[in-house]
Amino acid sequence: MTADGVINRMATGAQCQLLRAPSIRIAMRRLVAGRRSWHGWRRFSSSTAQPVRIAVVGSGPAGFYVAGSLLRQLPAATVDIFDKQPVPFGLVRFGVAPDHPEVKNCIHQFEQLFDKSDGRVNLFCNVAIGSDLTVEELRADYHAVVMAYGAERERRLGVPGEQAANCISGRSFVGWYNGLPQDRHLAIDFDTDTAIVIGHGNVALDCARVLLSPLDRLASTDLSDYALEALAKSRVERVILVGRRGPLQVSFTIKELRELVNLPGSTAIVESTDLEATRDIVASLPRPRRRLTELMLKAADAKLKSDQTKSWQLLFRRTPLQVLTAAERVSGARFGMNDLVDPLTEKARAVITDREETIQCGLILYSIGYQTIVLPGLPFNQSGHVIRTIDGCRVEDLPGVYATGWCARGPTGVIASTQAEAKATADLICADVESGALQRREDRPGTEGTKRRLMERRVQWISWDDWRRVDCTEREMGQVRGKPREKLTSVMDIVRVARGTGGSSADGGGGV
Amino acid sequence: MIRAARRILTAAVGRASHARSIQSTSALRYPGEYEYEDPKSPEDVVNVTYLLKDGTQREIKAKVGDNLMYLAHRHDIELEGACEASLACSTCHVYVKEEYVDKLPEPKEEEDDMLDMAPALKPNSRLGCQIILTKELEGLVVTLPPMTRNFYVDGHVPEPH
Repeated sequence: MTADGVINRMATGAQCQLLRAPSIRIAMRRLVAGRRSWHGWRRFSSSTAQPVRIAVVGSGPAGFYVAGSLLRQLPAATVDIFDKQPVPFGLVRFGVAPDHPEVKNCIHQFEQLFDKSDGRVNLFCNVAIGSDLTVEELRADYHAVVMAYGAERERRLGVPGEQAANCISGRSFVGWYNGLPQDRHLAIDFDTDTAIVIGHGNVALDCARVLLSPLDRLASTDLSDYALEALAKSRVERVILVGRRGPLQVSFTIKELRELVNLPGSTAIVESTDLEATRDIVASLPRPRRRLTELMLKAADAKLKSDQTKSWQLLFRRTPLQVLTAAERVSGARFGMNDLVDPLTEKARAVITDREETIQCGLILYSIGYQTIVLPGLPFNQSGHVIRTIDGCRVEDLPGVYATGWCARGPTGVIASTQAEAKATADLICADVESGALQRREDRPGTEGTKRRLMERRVQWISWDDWRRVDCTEREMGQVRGKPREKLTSVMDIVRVARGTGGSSADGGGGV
Repeated sequence: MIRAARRILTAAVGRASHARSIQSTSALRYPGEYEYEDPKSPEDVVNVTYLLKDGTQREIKAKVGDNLMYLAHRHDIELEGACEASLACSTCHVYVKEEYVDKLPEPKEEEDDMLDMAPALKPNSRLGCQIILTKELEGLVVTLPPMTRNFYVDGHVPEPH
């Protein structure tokens, strides 16, 4: 990037009146990073002037990392990134917990993509593939299509009573506190002392942490204002995290557990014969599992902190059988007790017994996994919830269509694994370009074709420049509140701000 | 270019509301900026070798104080840094050649926590962003972890919750 580029960028940033210094910080950081050549990494010899037009479906980490790698490696490539949400970054914006701002630093890299690729990348947010545009149309308009749209639907509990008020999926709860438009108006009642979280993954721990966090810890994050207001009235002081299997099979990771262990104002209650049984073998476990189990044991050994008013508890070997209700609202849950086959291995199997247990509570959040929705026009695997690929990457029977990230392999893993996989997927696409396997004899309409179709259908897409206006507005709204940003949470507001036609004042609180 | 940007920065920061607190730091540096300076004297030099994913290697004449991750960025070595050295990811994961492992300070608890999530973890795994070069590390060799397209194809089997 040239110094002129920096000044231009700064001029743009100057629209953010309240944020001059931080925006310059970012510009500076980019400038420094700008000395790293955008094309410096492996470049393919046959990438001649003939364009390769690529569509990427999904603007989360998988989509951005695959786009970045393609743009670096193929100088003749243009990449259009689609997202059905009105704003980019997928789960980095709508999934990552508000108190994990460092995890969101990867957005700076994504911003660089647009700053440094000379117009070779376009963003089309607020465009749903499957309805606004079809997979077939993308295949006709582009040389290659990369599916990177994640796994957005929660796995349901599948037990009687789960329709009751206050039985909510962890995904919806996360979407709610993170300002996801579709979950903005979720009805959730915190007028209860006990909440049950079903599931032993990181989303479950995020839910527990948000429920138990002192308010001042959340107030300075980008947690949406309406959520903060609702949590301020919360009476929840006990969170019970229930899992189907034992302590050696939990899916959460150590950072998230440690945060809960160290959470001010809350104490751990980990009394479990299951955990005790791990003491003899803990030293022999593979390192990540060993350290995680040691931390659980340490939490169990710690004296109850008597000055803490709140608590969280891990319960093992319980399968939910029924959500109990009173006046159509959650009043508890009935669990079946499981025995474990091979309890000391990762692959332990839960076998339900006829012993049962009932726990009273006023709120249930369940987080037992996500499911991919396979878009119309794509083949799916036996479970129906993952795109069928030949080699984990090339979509079966659809030449030129690839898949990466959660929609290709299922919803698991952290950004590091998604990033590595996206890079490998990009390498494979480049190899297909190189070998001629990717048909690109004739040019395709690419971006122009997409714009034509969207205009015909009166779809109001959000471009990168549109997003920068939304970003600026959100940061300014956040600045007033002493937080990094206040998210706009209605699609209409976002479109209005993006078009520069107002729509939300700085004190609008996200809704108009 | 850096100097030009610094001038712009100083001028602009002067207008900003919290200019004072920023300006009071005389040696203002941004993450990754230091690594763009060349060694000032032979005593400063620390030679580092990166073994890349494609089997090739890059030898870098680095200097005392360089951060191994930002150094890689300067030299277009494909080492990610998603969280910008804030110990919130493991994308700058490297393997340190055995004889240098003990020459590095012990990893912080946060680094160990992040390493636990790194694909293909080994006993000599470290995060590149936590390695700061010293004279003692002269000749350091680090290997970038292998690339895997699909972790499940590579043998890992996901378990249901």
